[in-house]
Amino acid sequence: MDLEIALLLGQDGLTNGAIYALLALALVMVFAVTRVILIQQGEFVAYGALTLAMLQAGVMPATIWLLVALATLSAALDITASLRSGKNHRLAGQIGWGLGYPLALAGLLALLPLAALPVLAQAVLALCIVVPMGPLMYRLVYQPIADASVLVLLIVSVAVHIAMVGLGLAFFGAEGQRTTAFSDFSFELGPVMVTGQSVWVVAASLVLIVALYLFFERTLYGKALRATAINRVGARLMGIPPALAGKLTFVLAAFIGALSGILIAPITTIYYDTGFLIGLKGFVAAIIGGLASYPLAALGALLVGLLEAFSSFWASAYKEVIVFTLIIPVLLWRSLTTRHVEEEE
Amino acid sequence: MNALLTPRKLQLAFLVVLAAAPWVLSTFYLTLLNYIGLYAMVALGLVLLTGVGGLTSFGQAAFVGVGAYTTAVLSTSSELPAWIAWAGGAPWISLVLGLVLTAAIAVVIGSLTLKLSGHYLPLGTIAWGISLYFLFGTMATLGGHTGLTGIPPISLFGWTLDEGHEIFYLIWIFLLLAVLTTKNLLDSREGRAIRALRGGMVMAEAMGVDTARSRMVIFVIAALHACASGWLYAHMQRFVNPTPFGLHIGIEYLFMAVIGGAGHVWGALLGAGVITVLKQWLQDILPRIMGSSGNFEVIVFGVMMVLVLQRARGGLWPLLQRVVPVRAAPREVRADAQIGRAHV
Repeated sequence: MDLEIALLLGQDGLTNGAIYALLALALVMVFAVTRVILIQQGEFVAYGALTLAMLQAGVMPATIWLLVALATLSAALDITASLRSGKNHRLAGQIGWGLGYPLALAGLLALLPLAALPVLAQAVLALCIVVPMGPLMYRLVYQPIADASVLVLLIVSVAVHIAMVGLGLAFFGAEGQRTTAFSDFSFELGPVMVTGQSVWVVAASLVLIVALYLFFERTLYGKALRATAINRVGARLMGIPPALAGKLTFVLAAFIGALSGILIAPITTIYYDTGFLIGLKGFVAAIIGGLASYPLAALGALLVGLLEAFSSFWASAYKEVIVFTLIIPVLLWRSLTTRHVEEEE
Repeated sequence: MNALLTPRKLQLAFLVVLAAAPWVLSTFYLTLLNYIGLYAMVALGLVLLTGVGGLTSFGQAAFVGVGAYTTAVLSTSSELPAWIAWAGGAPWISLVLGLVLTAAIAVVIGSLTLKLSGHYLPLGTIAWGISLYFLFGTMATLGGHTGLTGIPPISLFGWTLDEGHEIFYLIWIFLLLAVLTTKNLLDSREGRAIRALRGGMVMAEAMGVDTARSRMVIFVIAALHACASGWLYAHMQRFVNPTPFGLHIGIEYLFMAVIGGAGHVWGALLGAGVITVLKQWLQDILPRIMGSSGNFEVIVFGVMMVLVLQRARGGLWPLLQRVVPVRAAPREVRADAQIGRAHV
């Protein structure tokens, strides 16, 4: 291996590592606020990327119908709850937002010349379709069992993951897709050609991390989420509704997932089930951070990305095995250093 | 209780029906029953782990793979290294070796994750399940993705079990023994400690239960069940490839345990039966509805799991218990019995 290859692999590793870092941050955040281990995070990646690919092909993305279906179900649940408790003044808003948004979006998609739009507009549309699925998923799946044990929530997440992979196959088919790059721009840095897309990925990740930091530090909603993460009951006593906190974290998680998918779709071919492996690598990073520390998780993500890039050079057949066995020394170290008392559930 | 339908009579009737099954059922249904038996054995381990112990594992399919591949390599490879050559070609020896190997792996994974909080074991088993699947697929000695063929059938006292109805008895004897031993384990002193795990660690530890040890015990037992199932699978199928040992099958095993009723030993059988039959049926009709082929049954399974966990967390077995008196009468504790001998 010479310097050129090392730099090339390093660029690869950094790009992937940036994506894993985003996913790991989302996983840590969702776990801290809702105790849900978000196995299906990777599916948001695949849905985001493949929805964008369908938009670029000029096809009405099938995910919009999933959004309509989820929104209808959730609106139906909300409306029956409102009627039962006599809060009729909420009905208009629930019907308006619950059904109006997805139907308006579907109408917009039908009218627009999808394939002819600029890439950024397509990306925004893809986000508009996929991101609302996050809070809807929280409403339909997790809100009724928000008090269940971590184990039950984890099994539910796995069930949702399985269903989403099956739906992904139905929506997008078995073929992989690659989308057009955001820019053709590239430049030489020493001996290595740096592509515009990897600059996009790293820059977008950095911007997003800073934005998340500002959100959690400076805004009322961010502080509410942090409070919920530290003490659920205490936050509730201070007037932070757990359902709101849950939905908000799922908005962020779905946004981070879908955006990651959109960012990497021009670099790697995405299949309907690719998201899972990408999400799991985010997990390895999150576990390095003990599912609690954001900076450690981000560092772990870079480590995972670099390890993956370099092991694909030395032992490409064992790339996945090497990345996933990285978790073993991490677990060993954690189990030697932490003295854990199980929380009563 | 209705004298016509006592639990004992029901169990007896179940055994009679089971023993008669190979004589009446067609090959298709017999094969289905064989699979249900194999799956139920894995699900039984998960019942012990998840429903009783409050832990879980997504990597059980990988343990099934260890059992299947151990016996497949030992009984087909012609160039075994000298130190292991004595075990070649003898299925019963490779069963023992597979069990030992599985126990060793389970102890390692367990000692890494069981000291941490409960969700690290499932996450660790996901990583382990994926790694092992890729390893099966890439290692040339394990046949890569094409797998290994020509595994000999099991023979027992000179009787070769190479027909579906012959191995049927072996599978179900294995399964019923596993059910019986699991029930006995749960009724024992050790079992009471295991059942205390789910109520919270601090409480159990305050009562003097070594929780780390109890968790390890059930994790190893669950892994051994899976390994035995894999051994039977390899000799029934006479062929192994990595597909049935992937992570998604591991998740399916967990679905069986949860849908059947994760807290009940017989729930494993019920869950394995329901999922296997449903899968067969869905694989038949769904591609026709969707207009293309693919694993669309997972959508139904996923949604079903969410609904079961939201509405009936105990699974289907408790619902069945309301209709049929399948539960054994609780053992009576006599007030004057000696404390050391009283059953709970």
